[in-house]
Amino acid sequence: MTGEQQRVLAAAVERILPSDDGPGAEETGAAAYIERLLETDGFRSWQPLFDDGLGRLEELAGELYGRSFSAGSPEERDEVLRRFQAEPDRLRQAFFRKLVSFTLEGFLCDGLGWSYLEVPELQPGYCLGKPPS
Amino acid sequence: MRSGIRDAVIIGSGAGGGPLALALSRAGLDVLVLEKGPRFRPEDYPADEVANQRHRFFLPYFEGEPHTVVTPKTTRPVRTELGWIATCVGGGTVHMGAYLYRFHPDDFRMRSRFGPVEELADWPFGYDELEPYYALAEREVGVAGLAGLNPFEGPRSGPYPLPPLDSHPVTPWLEEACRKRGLHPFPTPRSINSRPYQGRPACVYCSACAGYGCRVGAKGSTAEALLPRAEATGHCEIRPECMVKEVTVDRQGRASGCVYLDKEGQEHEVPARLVFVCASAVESARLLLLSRSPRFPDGLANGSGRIGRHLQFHGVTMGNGRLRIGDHPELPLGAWHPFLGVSAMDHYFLPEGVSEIAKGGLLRFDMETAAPLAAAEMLATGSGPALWGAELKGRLREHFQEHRTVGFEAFHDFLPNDRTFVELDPEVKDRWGLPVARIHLDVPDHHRTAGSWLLDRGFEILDDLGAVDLRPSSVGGTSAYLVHGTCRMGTDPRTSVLNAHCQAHEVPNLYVVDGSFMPTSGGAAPTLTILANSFRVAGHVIAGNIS
Repeated sequence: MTGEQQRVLAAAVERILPSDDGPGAEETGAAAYIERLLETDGFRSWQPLFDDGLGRLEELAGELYGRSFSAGSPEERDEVLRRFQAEPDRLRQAFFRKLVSFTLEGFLCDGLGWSYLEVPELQPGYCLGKPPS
Repeated sequence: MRSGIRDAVIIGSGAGGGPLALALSRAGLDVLVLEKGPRFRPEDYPADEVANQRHRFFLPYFEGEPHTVVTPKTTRPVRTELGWIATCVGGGTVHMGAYLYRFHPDDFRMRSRFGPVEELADWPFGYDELEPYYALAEREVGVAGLAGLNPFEGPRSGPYPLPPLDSHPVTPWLEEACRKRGLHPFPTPRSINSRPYQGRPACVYCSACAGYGCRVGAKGSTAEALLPRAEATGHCEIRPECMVKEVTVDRQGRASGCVYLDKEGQEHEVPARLVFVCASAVESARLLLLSRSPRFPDGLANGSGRIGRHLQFHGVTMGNGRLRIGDHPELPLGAWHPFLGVSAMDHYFLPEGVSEIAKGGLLRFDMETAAPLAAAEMLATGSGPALWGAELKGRLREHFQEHRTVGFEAFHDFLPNDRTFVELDPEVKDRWGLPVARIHLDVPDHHRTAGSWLLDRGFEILDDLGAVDLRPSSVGGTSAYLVHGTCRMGTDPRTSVLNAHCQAHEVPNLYVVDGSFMPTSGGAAPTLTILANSFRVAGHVIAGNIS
């Protein structure tokens, strides 16, 4: 991923699972997890969709607010995500659903995510899901 | 090893190959087990949903070893994981849920009971013949259960070797709800040690169970319960990472052994007096179809053209509901326990008029399986636009902190039919350059009709218990990993591949011993039946060798 893509991804996942009353995507390293995931067998095929989707987020932020997505306030980024989700493009919708799924995966593959949700049957670390290489 | 020729080569080490390996080596035969996958130790199994469910820890590398599938709705074959079970020593028994039910006596005589519907057939042997081997298999892998509570079960020669597993304290309420609906609940029999058994420890109730390898060795997989004991006889060698590409024949048309590729791709030939193909129904059929020779131009032992026909999976119906902990002060819901082992066989047969044939399935209740990531994704992306932000986080907290999810599952018959079969794919090859298995799948309407009726019965109980948000997750769906029927057993060599001893009609020293032999799929998960039949076949082979 380019530096810009990394910044857009991190800024997006922070809004998908925000750090409000407890840890969110940021504290659980979800963006780095997703980047690693997209380099794994069976997941590389998502990279073009992520290239396109992250690019579109950046573009929308420019159109709406005249600055980079990652430089936007939380409210501005939420608005960009809402606009993106309202666009009719099927591939972009598929990207958005994957982005949400992968963010959850990154969040739940960290002991902090488990502890926060009090999933009692699962010890923190249960799902430290570094994809097998 | 004497003279370089093995008494027996067993291809595959799961529910079919495992019992054979133990029984034959115990009888003194010199046995070689060839397994395509690696050999793990219990601590190698990841207790990790992502590794198991997402990255398919137990399945072969998808791009390199797909199956393909054609359905009435597809115009071109698509690559699929359908029909793969597991690629490792122990096969599917490593990650099985270990629900080890016996079949009902009528599962062995479906054609007699229901008539010529689709391709129903009777088995050449009945429940009574298999019963001693059911009992043996239950002892050898260690099944925890309580006999006598299920009035629909066939006669048993003895109790379960282990008492039932502990279960969630809400279990008595669920059992009571079942009884009020006229059902006869009984503890789900599972090959998981409720006490230390045969040198293996008791279950630690960690929850990484169905879909996972057991990290303490409490699950009665062939890898833990049978194969080490086979090796201890001194007569059994287990060789992992060996991909068998052909069963060879001699000039008389008898099986002479097999050829396998090691992980470097080097070919090796194994001569053997007896060959046992136990690679699971799809892959066993594929191996025989790949084994062509002048004597058997359409595949080994395939003079009838029936290899690959009658492929069956299982019908599967599942649903769940949520109980809000705060809404039920009378229920001990807050307590944590992974199991809610309650089964009922009352709906094994449907009332007349519900469907084409009056066959239902076994209902099993349990706590939500250890797949919280799947549950979280279902909340976020299961219906409508994907949820995110504060709304998603709120839903996660609500689901995991304030609710317990109770689910049920019914496995029911997959009707054998002439549109569902497996053949060699004329186009797609695996990473060794061999044609992959192409599956043709056509699901009779009965599956959905029966599934829909069973779903209502499950929901009734959950509703009585006070559950809300009742949600079906599969109605008469097709299980990807329970496979049967591709080398049908029968008495007529023109219409079946194997005789009643799983011996190929055309090649007397070739046996197919996994789910392939099963003329019909049964109304419950088939694992115990495959294990028991394998012990039964071993008994026949040993008797033949001694005489």
